[in-house]
Amino acid sequence: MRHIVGNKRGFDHMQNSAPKPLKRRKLTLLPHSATIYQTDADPVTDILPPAWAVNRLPSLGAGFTDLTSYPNLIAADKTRYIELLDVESKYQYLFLRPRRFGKSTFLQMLSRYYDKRFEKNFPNTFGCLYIGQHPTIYASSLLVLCFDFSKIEVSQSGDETKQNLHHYIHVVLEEFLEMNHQFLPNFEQGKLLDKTSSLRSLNNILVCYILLIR
Amino acid sequence: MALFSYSSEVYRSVTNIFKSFFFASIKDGISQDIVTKYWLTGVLPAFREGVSPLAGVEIISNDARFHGLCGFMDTEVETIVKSFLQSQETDTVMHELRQQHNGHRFIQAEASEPLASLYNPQHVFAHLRSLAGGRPVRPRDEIEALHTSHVLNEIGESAFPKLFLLAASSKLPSEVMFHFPPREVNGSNPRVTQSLLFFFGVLTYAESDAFLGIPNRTMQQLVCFTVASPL
Repeated sequence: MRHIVGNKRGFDHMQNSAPKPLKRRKLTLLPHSATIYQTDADPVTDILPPAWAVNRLPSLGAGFTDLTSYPNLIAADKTRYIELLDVESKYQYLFLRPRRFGKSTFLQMLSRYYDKRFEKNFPNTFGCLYIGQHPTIYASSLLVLCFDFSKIEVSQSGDETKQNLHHYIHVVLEEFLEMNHQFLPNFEQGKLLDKTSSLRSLNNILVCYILLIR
Repeated sequence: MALFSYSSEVYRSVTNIFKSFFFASIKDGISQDIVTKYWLTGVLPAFREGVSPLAGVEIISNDARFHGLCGFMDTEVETIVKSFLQSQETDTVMHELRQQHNGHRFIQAEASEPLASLYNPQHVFAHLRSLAGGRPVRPRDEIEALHTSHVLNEIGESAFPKLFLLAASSKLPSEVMFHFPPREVNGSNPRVTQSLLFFFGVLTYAESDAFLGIPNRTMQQLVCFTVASPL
C-alpha cells in the first residue's frame, strides 16, 4: 500500500557514472505525440559518459523528478490527469493497477504538485509539462503527508509487525514536522510526538492543525 | 503481502491497527475538512473491505476517464520505439511488443466506444533496453521478478487450470468483484480468484467485453509456469 514513494533507486546502480540531474531541463515532445517527451542534454554543463550520451528510458524505480532532470531521457507526461482530478476540490480515491504500471511515479507526481514546500520549484519541475501550462488552483497549496507502507517489514510475529508499523509512522511524522516547520508555527515536536504511540502523534498533529486553521 | 504470506492472525493484527487507529484518524481529518485530497494505491479491494473507515474511498480504476493514467497506449509505445531504437525496424518491434506486453483492459467500455488496450510500461522498457543492448529479450526475467508469481503460488494452483482453460477459450464471464472478504483470497471462491487475477494483470477484459482473457504472451507464460510447476 502506498501513499507515496520518494526514493531514487532507479538510477542508483549507475550512480558513479550518472551525470548530475539539473534543476530544469528542456523537454521536447516527440513528433506526433502529445505525451511522450525527451529531456535535453546541456552542451555546457553536461559532461556525459558514453552510456548517457544516447537516448535512455526510465529504470525501474526512477522517481518522478528524475524523469525531468536527467539528460536524454524519454518519458511520458501524465500530468494532464491532475487537471481531471482537480475538477473536485476534495477527493478520496483508490486507484488499482498491476505492478510496474507506474502507480508510484504517478503518486510522487501528485505529491510534488500539491506540496506547498516546492512552490518555488514549481516552474522547474512542471514548467514544461502539460500541468505547468495549465495549473489548477490547488498547485503548491497543500501540506502533504506521504506513507509508503510497502516499506514495513511484515514478520510472522504480529507484535513485531505492529512495532515496525508504529516506528515507520513515527519517522514519517517526525520528517513531516521538520520539513513543514515554516507552515506550522508553534508545532512543538516534543509535545506532539509520542514515541510510545505513533497513532497518538498523528492525532495530535491533526488536532493541532484544526486549531491552527480555525 | 501479509494477506498471502503469513497467518491470518498477522493479517488481522495489521488491519486492526489500520482500521482502529490510522484510517480512523485520517477519516476524522477528512470529516473536519483538513484532509482534502486523499490518494491510496497498491492495495487490493480485500484490504478495503476489512477496514471500515475506508468505505468512503471511491475506486476510480474502472472509470474510463482515468483509463490511461498508468500504462501506455499503442501510439505512445510507437513514439518511444521510433525515438529510442532509431536504426531498427519499427514495425517488427511493434509487432513483438504488442504480442508480449499489450492487451491490458481494466475497464469495461461502452459498446460504442471501445477503449484502447494498455501496455505495461516497465515491461516495454526492459524489452527495448534488451534490444538496444543486443541482449536476448527474456520475458521470463520479468515474470520471475514479478511478485505476482509468488501470489499465484499462495492462492493455490488447484484453482487455476479450469479458470485458465475458460479464459483461453473465451468462456470466462467478465465478472470482477471489487468487494470481497480477505478470507476468500485462498482460492476457495472461483469468482474471487478470477478477480484477484484481474487485479494482478493476469486476466483482463477481453476485446469483446463479455469475457475475461489473458492479456498477452508474457502473462500466458506466467500462467503456464504456474500451472505446470507442480507437475
